[in-house]
Amino acid sequence: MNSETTLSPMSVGRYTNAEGLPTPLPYSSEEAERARRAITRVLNTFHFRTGSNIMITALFHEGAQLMPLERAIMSYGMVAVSADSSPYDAKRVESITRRFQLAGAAGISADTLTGLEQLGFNPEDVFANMVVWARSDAYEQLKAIPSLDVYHLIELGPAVAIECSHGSGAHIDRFEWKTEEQDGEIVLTNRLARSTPFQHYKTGVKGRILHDACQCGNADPRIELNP
Amino acid sequence: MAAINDDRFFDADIETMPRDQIEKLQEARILQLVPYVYQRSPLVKSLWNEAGITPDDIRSLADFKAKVPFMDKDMIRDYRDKHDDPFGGLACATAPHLRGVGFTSGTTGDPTPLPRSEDHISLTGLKREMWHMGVRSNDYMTYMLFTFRDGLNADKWLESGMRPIAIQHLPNEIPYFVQVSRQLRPKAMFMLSTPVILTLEQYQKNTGEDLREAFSSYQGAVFGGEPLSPHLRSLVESWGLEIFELSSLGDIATTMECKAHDGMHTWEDLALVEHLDPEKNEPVADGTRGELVVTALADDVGPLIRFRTDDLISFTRQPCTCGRTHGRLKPLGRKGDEMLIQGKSILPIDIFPLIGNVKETSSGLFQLIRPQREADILNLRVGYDQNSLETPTDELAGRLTDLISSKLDIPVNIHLTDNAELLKNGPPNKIPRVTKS
Ligand SMILES: [Zn+2]
Repeated sequence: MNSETTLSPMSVGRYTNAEGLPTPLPYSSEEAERARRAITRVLNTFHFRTGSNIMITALFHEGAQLMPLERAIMSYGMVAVSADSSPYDAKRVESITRRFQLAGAAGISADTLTGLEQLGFNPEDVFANMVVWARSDAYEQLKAIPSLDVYHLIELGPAVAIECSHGSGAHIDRFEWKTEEQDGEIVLTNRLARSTPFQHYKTGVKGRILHDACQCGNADPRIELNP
Repeated sequence: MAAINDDRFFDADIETMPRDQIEKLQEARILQLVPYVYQRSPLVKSLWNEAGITPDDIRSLADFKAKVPFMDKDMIRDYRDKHDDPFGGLACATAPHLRGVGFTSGTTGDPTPLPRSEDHISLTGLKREMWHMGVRSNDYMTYMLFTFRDGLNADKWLESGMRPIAIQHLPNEIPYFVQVSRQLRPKAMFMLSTPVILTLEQYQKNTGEDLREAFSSYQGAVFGGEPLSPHLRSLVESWGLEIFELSSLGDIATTMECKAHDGMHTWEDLALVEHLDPEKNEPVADGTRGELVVTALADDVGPLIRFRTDDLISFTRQPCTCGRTHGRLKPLGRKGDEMLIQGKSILPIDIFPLIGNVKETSSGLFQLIRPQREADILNLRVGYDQNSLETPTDELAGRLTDLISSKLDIPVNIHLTDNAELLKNGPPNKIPRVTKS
């Protein structure tokens, strides 16, 4: 890569830097489009019907990470129903799951689960009969409910990894990122020009990288979290 | 007609369109919309059938304004509940033309869904406003959407060249907001609300930071959500910011002040604006009080048709000194808050500046006591600050009575209450402006 090259930003989102501080993340429309294509490779493995509704819960500053998921849902021919992943918006999350026939719910956070609990709703009922992509802080709680169909959505600073229908690790875009393991931690380096370059960025996520062929047919490597 | 090439405007052809051309454009859009919504929106079909109207009856803008039945929030909710339709009978399209669903803030009951296509219509107007404030290609603007209700839409600013910095609209984001303002030096601040201003004030006190310096790159700050109190206005101005007030145009688009600060521009290519007598449903004169009724002109996914907003406004179609030709409104309050005192319309907005200018009551805490809409005398509960009291309370009550009855030309009965007592009636620093007793 020519590391001198940076792309002109379309917008500024945010990520958490190695010191745990919120940091502005300028990103370009090209990055967003490339990420949309990578996420589409994962979405395709579920064979959703076009016209289905998928709820996406996010925070407003997560554009670099989750706007590509929203756009992938739309370009597939599905409808993205939006809610906030903060505890304050759990009421809307519940209302959406009740009123819209959802094929999936993406980005469910521990904050949403806390909010639902405070309102007296049981996740087992709220997320019944749909694909659920849970963030790492909500994954264990939801995965423990046998009736739910739960997959990983792993936040990796400027990137996200998303689990396919085969459920054996979350795929990360192999064209965009050189994904490495350093002392058990996932480390990212960008392979293509971006607005904000990342060299050996320590994600803080403990796990290992699987490069073997996934049963879903997607050649993007997978991240498996340490238990 | 020569094309307008004027850098003051983001969309000069639209923003400065002569009145007759605006109406021509509206009529063209309405005549396309009428058969479309009748065939596709189940709520529209049922309302029009009930009224005995068909698309054949509507051959002009005038026909539309005279014959098409109104809709309101209750009708949409009723349809939703009766037919188990999340869109309340408003949706005219399915995926893939239907792309996403956002929501109104929904502080009361279930939030109302806002279906959308590839276009985000509410941003169409906002781009004009941000350009007017001074944002140009490659400039940053802080983007703290008041309620996150439209999905992750930062890419929808692309064709304006502006670069939104997405920040959550939450008090605990204030340190980050100040940090980013220094780091990226944005041109516009979108947007402030009462809680955000109060948190900034506290932040300045706690950290001693120079907000005037931190905010020195901003050419304007948008405020919305409720009327701006004189205290908060002077606070924001002390940080060197010019305030542009913003409101919702019945959930179709936004409406915002320009640098003339003489009313908020309504984008009449996006919404047909009607300004009607709330009781008789007839148009009222420019500059008088009427209810805002809107029809979406650029939405083919879930357009509102003659939607009664319950918002009282004053409205003028006089061109603005800024060069724009679209109508301007001033929000006055909610229809359900209006009182008729001996036939004269009184709203909380009439009381606000009067109370705010008296030292003991400058916190601006008051309530109209409204057992019903009409009354012979205005009963007003007013909060006072114990610490700034210099005279007996009955003397203060007398001063307030004289002030309000002379300014508004109505009889007034003042009920004084300690601020702390009055604040028990509502959430922090806010009380209902109208109460039954
Ligand atoms: Zn103007």
